[in-house]
Amino acid sequence: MKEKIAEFSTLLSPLERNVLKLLWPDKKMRVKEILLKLPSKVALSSVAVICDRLHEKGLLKREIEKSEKDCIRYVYYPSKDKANFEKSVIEKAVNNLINAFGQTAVSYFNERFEKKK
Amino acid sequence: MDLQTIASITSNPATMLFIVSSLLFSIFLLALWKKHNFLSLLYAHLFFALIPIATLAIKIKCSPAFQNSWISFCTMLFSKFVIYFLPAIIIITAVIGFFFIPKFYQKTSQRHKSKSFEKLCKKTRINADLFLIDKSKPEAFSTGKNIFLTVGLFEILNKSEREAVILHELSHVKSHSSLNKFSELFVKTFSPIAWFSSKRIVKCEEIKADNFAAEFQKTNKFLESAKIKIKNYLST
Repeated sequence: MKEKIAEFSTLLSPLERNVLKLLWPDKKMRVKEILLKLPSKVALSSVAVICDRLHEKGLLKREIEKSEKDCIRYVYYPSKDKANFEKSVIEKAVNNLINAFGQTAVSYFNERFEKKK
Repeated sequence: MDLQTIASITSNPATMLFIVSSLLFSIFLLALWKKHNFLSLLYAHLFFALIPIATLAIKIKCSPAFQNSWISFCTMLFSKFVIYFLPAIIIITAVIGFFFIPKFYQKTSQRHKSKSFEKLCKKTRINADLFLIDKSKPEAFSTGKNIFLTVGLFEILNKSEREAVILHELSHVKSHSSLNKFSELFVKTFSPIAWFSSKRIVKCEEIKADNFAAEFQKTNKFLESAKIKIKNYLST
């Protein structure tokens, strides 16, 4: 059970969240541009690592961009918008809770909804 | 030579081992002549590893009591294995190293034409092709005459650091490092002594390549900073 909760809380690291926040208004950005716009000071290599991890998780897509001056860069852009991402996170969390507690979780959700009504 | 004489030679372990060791020694001399120092060292190891077996084989030949013993059987098997498989292994090494592995990487990567790379090739007088791999982990390696760089390497390093890495790989192309590494891998399976030398060989190759890049750029500043950047990436 503990592991499942930990999985949810470590779904995104603070830096990953910051990178996603920058890219969510549907922007295409290079790693260097992301680095310049990040609020905290980080090394270029760690931003590159974070972008690669987000790409592996399926949250970012990327293209190779070649310029005339022999510069080859990745351009990252989000694969899901913010609403879709939040939906998938909630779905995962609710599924985890139901898997862990079963009947108790479902009855708790019922109580909760009735209170709101 | 008819089949019977071949059979008589192959059934005698002493003559077999004599042939194998002289073959190895001739390869060793050839390699020395071509100044492939590391390769020659490895063949020398193989040659020396065979000496105790050869003496044993000769001893067995002298005393007929050992003729049918399991030691003589093992020696014969080993010598046959070496004489038939060593040339095959050398050929397989060359084919894998120069044909299959470059082909495999060429399929997963795309050829990249860049003017700065061509300039470097002209200046160093080394013929090589540059390939780009779609991967964000910074890596650079060479097989045969092909140099492979990942997109991540381009992303992290600046122009002169990239040049240092390319020069390092060009030096590997020049000294046929990939062939050396492959033959070392196969020789390891035969000679126990090669296990001790192999680490040194890889290190020497790397130092040689580093020196080449530093000499060309007249400073090792860029190579060092590139190494630090790659280390930082791998540690995060």
